[in-house]
Amino acid sequence: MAEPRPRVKLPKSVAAGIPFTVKTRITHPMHTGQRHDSEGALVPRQIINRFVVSFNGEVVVSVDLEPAVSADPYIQFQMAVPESGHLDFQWIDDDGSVYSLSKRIEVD
Amino acid sequence: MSKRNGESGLNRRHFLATAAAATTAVSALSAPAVLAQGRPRVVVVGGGAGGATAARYIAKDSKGAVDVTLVEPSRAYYTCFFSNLYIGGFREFASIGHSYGALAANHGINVVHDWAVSIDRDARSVGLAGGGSLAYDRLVLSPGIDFREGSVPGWDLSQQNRMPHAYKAGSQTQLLKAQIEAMPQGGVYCMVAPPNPFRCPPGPYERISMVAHVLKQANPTAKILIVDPKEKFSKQGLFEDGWQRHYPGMIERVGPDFGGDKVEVRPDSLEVVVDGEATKVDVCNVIPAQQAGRVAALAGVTDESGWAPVVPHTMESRADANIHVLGDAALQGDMPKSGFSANSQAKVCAMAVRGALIGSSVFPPRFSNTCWSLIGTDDGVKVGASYEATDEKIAKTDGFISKTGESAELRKATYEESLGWYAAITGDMFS
Repeated sequence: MAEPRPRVKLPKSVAAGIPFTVKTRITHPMHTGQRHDSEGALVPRQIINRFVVSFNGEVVVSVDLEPAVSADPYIQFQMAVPESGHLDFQWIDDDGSVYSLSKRIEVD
Repeated sequence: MSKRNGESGLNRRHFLATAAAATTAVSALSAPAVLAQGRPRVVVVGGGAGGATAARYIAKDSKGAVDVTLVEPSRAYYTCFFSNLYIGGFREFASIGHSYGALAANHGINVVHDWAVSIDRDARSVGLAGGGSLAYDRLVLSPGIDFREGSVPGWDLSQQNRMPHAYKAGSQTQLLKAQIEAMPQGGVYCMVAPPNPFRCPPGPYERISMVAHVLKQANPTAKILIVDPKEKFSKQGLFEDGWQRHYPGMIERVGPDFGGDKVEVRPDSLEVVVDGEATKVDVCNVIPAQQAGRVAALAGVTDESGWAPVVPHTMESRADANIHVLGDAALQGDMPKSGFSANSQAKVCAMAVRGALIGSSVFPPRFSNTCWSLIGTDDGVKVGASYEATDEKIAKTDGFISKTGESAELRKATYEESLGWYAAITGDMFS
């Protein structure tokens, strides 16, 4: 499997308290554990099972993902922040790997 | 059959032109008007799927009653369609190359290997880079595409060896294939995909499939990155399904959601900058935004879109009834910019030109198109439609598209159908 590649898109600057949209995606095959490969062998389950977003160290979004979620999970949400700070994104893999990305958000 | 070169007999039809136009045409000429006086003259600029087909059909069906000259700089023409299959290793390079010899020998077409560099619409003459000029009663322009300067910041034609487009087939296609084969293990191939409208809507994504096919065998840990300004693309569901089946985990597409519409490139360092974030890659295939081939703009038949509006029934330019524009360069309505479309439009145009010049029968036009794409070995898909001419545009009447989940037998049959089509269309252009 190629190394999963996370991406996040959010505005460069926002107004305090005004909601804005955050888009996230990670490349990941999201093996359900029920599919067979071309030789007929079962492909073991391996999915991103949890997605967590923190703002200045405080968890603001936490999502449990299930095997029904398709490959390259895309998660979009809205949030508002009171001040400038750091958004930390984490995707947690069944194999224990954690893929993370950090983005600075500026309040005008 | 005419045996002239491009410079002789230039004014043989000047007596048909208006007095003012004739004066202009004659002033540049010295060659005597001797052969075949009275035969209407057609000049076709561009020897691809539009131009070669139009020249061949006008000459063949008029049985010598129309004098046809084809202006095309290349002596060997490499088809853009099927050039992805060469990249994927499914075709030999020589198998997509064609020459113009049969058009001259079998149909008496005067093939001039030169660039058309000016069009004098009043005098009805085409100036050639080599210095001569060609007078016409009807001019057919089928110049394909050129790239819009500045559409991908950091890239221009001087960088096309560092970052090939390979979107006009030939040496660029060979260069891109060589670069892909030379990628380090685990390297990154990046494509900067074009915005609409562009030549061959499924073409970039068939190319991704073919690159993935090569890498899967020779370089299985390599990755493919598509930076795409478009929300959606042709046959997207079919391609994405196929990529998942054949090349899982290899291909990532970054659309406008994640900055695919804000891209610049740094050819010196082989970096691609997406929404301000630079990524080092090993091969960068930049397919810039496109417009009609330059000669259409020189003729003054393009509008602010960069393409040439045409009358759907005849493919005549809306700016000049003596000029027809075919194929990728034409702004015609619903047909995609494909070799099949250009070939279909060329036959309608040829019928209209013969009707206008020698009074032969003209029937209501019918157009059709099919675009086949190969996703993996024996995994072919297609999309196509029929079209009619309305006053406003060439309008789609009905269409079809392959479906996900089709049997392997059907996909193989679809691929084999495309091989038959390739043989047929290249015969229709060059035999």
